[in-house]
Amino acid sequence: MEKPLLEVKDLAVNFKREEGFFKAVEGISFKIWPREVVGLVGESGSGKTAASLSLLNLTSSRGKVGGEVFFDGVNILTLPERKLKKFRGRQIGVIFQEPMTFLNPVLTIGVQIMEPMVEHWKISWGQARERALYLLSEMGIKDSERRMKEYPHQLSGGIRQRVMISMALACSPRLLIADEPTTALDVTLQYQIIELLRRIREKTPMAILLVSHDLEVVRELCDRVMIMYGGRIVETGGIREIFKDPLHPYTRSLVEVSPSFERVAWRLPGEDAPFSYQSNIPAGCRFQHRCSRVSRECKGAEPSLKEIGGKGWIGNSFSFHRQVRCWKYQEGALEKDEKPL
Amino acid sequence: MYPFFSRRIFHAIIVLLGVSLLTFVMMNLAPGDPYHLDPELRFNPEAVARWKELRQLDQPLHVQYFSWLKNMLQGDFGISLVHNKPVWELMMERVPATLLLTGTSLLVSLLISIPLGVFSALRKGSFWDQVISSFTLGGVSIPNFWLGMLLILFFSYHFKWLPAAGMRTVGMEFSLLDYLKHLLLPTVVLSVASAAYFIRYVRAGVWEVIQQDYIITARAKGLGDMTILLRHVLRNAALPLITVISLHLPYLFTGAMLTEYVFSWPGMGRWIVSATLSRDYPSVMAINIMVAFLVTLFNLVADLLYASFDPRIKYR
Ligand SMILES: Nc1ncnc2c1ncn2[C@@H]1O[C@H](COP(=O)(O)OP(=O)(O)O)[C@@H](O)[C@H]1O
Ligand code: SF4
Ligand SMILES: [Mg+2]
Repeated sequence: MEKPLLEVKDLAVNFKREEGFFKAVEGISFKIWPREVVGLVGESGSGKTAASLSLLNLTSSRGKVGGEVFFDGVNILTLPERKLKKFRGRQIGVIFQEPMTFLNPVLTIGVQIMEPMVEHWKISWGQARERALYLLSEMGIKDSERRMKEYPHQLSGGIRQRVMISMALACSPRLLIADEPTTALDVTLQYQIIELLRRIREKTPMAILLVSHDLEVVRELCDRVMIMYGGRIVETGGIREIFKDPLHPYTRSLVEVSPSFERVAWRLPGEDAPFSYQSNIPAGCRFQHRCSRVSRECKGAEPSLKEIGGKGWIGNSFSFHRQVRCWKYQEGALEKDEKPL
Repeated sequence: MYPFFSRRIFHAIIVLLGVSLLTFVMMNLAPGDPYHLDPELRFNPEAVARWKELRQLDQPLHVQYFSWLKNMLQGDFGISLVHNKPVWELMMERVPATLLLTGTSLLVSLLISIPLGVFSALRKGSFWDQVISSFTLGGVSIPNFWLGMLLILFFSYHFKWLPAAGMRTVGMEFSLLDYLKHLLLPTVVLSVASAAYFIRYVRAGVWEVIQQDYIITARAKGLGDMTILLRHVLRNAALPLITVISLHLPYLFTGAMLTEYVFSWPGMGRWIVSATLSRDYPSVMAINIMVAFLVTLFNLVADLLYASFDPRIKYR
């Protein structure tokens, strides 16, 4: 049986703030197998970026990362910074949400694409240049020679995101973390980038963790999806099951109003962003203020992430693939006829 | 690029004219006159009248100003009322010394402030950051001349390690070491305040840059710390620093004047004090124009540097 490429155990991110600490991410565990495309979905502020950056210990100095992250069997969070650097950019590439602010304004995009290759492969800039040109044309950028000499502000949003992707793919990483790769773009560009990611997915043996607040984007690309709410994973499952048969009340409301996620926040009662202060996090289920099925037990203790149904194939491994964090499912899956909604 | 230059040069001309007019008016409004120090002229109204006539100081003020302007445009800054020498010659004897002192001080203060400022920003809040911060506070508060006299007292008078005055030992053959020895104390005095001032801006600038999203990208690529610092952080942090330096230049010049006075440095510092006290009108005019010219020139250089660092800036 194939081993998971990435195994995350009990990941936590704790931000130090003026008013105290804030646990943006708590108790997240998941696995990604080689060549798998997994979605991480949640509304903005739910901790997706914190979770994905913490995998490489990239949160700012104020964010303390806890838990274990095994990449190909190595617990990378315990590595000294010097060794962790060998994973960043080389084994794991990252695409960020906002290509404008995540590209250095005073360096040409050529330099920014070439530098990880020069760093990790110890090749010359000339050799790196050839591959950079190749990557850019793979990303559908015409006139890549000229583009290499341009600066981020001279490019359109779509091209900037393609540059970002070329940068992340420069060293052919085995895992790509894409943090909202389409969110900053308008609809037609979103579609083009999704198509591009789909092509990359088919061409390379790379696994992808696709972070998005847009369930529709995830549906286009992913095999499996994890739903996040208030720093917790509340449901996981295969993409088709999630859409056909959502279990968690939060997922249900998402699927009902899909594609756009942000609208959910408007439809559900309660605050816009799940929580932004530690003191806002309630005892018991974190979703209780917005849940239509809330009952007394929900306010007592927090439900755990419970495995539902039988085992199935995930990638090449046979294991549980459906999990949900809700009191209504704590005793195993409900019978079909018992299920309200 | 060319329209930008012509606009800047046009601005510079306006500034220089303004400075000259202001200096002229202020000098003539200030009490005192150029001849009250001369015992022969002082109590002899006829001699004064002849003296004034000879130098055309009897003319109405606006006539005086325009004739000064006309001569200046032809490169003639007049004759010093005190030294009886062309002002231009006096200037050429002194400007290089001042430029040497300010240039060295600028260089030294940058060499000190960039590493310390970067270190402070990267270790913000640490013990050493606090030590550096208190030094910068001290550095900007110490008066120039006081520090100068203190250093002279210790290093020249007490320990006799370093010369207290001048640019080289009189009567000695040229030697670089001798020059450097003379340069050391005035440079220290002049650099302390500038370095302290720059450290604060470097620290603030670097701190600002390392919060930026593109630094996360650089880290996510697995680049080495030095590469991130040199390629990604410093290039961006240099931008505000260039502006700060160009804004600081006038203060550096003023500081240089005081320091030169304390160290008898043969630059413009002593000259400007004596020329002002003795109401040597042509000299005062020329010095002010010169300083204004140098400051404008360096500001222009700063703008060009800025553009070469920041691809988003295009001068039109
Ligand atoms: N550097 C930080 N300092 C303090 N709080 C932060 C920081 N970064 C993120 N947070 C908080 O963590 C929570 C999750 O943020 P984030 O991971 O960016 O959410 P998402 O990516 O899902 O929109 C938010 O409430 C946010 O305010
Ligand atoms: S535990 Fe209760 S409040 Fe939470 S999602 Fe389930 S039903 Fe709703
Ligand atoms: Mg985010």
